[in-house]
Amino acid sequence: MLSGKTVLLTGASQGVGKGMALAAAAAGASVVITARNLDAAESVAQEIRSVGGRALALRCDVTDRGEVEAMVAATLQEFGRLDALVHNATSRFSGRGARLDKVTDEDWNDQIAVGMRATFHCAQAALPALKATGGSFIILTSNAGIEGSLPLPVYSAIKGAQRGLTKSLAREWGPDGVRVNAIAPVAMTPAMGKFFDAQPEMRGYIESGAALRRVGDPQADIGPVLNFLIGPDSSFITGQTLLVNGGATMV
Amino acid sequence: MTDLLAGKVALVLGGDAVGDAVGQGLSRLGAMVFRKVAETSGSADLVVIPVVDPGGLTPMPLAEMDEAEWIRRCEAPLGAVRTALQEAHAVLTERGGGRIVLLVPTISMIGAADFAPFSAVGEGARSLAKAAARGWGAQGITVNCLALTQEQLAPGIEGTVTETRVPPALATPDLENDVAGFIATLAVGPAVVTGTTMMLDGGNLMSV
Repeated sequence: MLSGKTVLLTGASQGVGKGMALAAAAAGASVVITARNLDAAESVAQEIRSVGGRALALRCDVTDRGEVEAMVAATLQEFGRLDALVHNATSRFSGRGARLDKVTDEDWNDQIAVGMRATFHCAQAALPALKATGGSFIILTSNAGIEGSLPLPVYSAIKGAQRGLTKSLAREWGPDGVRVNAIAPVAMTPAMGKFFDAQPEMRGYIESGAALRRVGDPQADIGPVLNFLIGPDSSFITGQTLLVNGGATMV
Repeated sequence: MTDLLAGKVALVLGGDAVGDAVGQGLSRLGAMVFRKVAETSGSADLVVIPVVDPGGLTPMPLAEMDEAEWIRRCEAPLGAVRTALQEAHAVLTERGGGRIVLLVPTISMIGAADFAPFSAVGEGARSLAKAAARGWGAQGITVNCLALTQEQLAPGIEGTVTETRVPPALATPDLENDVAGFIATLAVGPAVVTGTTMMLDGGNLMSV
């Protein structure tokens, strides 16, 4: 499905990002895995290469404009093209719960930097290359950005804001052949695993809320949706948020 | 109707001319209206938060925007919404609860080319409002959004964004009478609605 294409993912060393990277590679794409931790990114790249795929690992702090531009440049140098930039990276504070009246400036500022400033950097840096290939800019958002989350108000704001950005950029870039979509996944991640370890009863609670009665797998469940959005079968889809949550939320 | 808000204290946080117009409307309905928390006695019954574009709804392609402009037109106003909501919580809890109403743009709900930052602000504000609604309901606070068109949020602007290609079903509500009047009904009615977005655009957008 994605043979000949190059996909760059931010925050791809674990969880949903890693799962999507592995799925894109399995579909034939050359994959660029970026993360703050180069060793962790390289581990994913090695896993892809071990089964015959093409992968490049890069260290990137997405809050730094220069690093984001270098990330795109390195991708073009290695693979000659960019067909999709998938912005998945989130702040290290994104899982830190606090009701809105308790949110501190530190919490807000760090999450804004990764969630919003980084999205801006990635969008600007990727656009010229995406125009050249008729590619896609894909943002990972969340159900929190649709329904609001009591313990995660900052995360809710950013994920909602990213949906607004998705719609407007889709209209803005559509005439240039660049599509912009978002994915709102519910999938097992290291953070979710720790959460379930600490509160085992929550796993059953969350699974029972999904029509399909389970939490998704990053590679098997979220990856194919990303591949669909990047590939030719979605060529008439833009400006949308795909909810990939086993039917937990339906809009 | 003119005494609907008699005895009520309303705080309208920001919004420049939009805030002024809504504040005047609430005042004509009997409310004591303040524009800053410091002007109040530290409590209020109603807080209105207009979400406006510091760029005056001037279109700009994202590719041409520098970081300072991005911060000015996206991150700063979104941060201002967060601050306003936290201030609202403080003054409303002093009275055992109350109403928060955000005025948000319809263009962010359907997307508009060359308005990416403000679209992000609008949708971010709506999600933040929902999180606040969930968090503060037990304290007697409701949080709702009213969605307005670009012409309502930037009075005098020549429409640069056509929200839809279908004419609105009704006349576009004006800020001082219609929007303020609707806010007043939310303020005095039972606390049964929270976390919602109501379209006050005259029946223009019906897809959301």
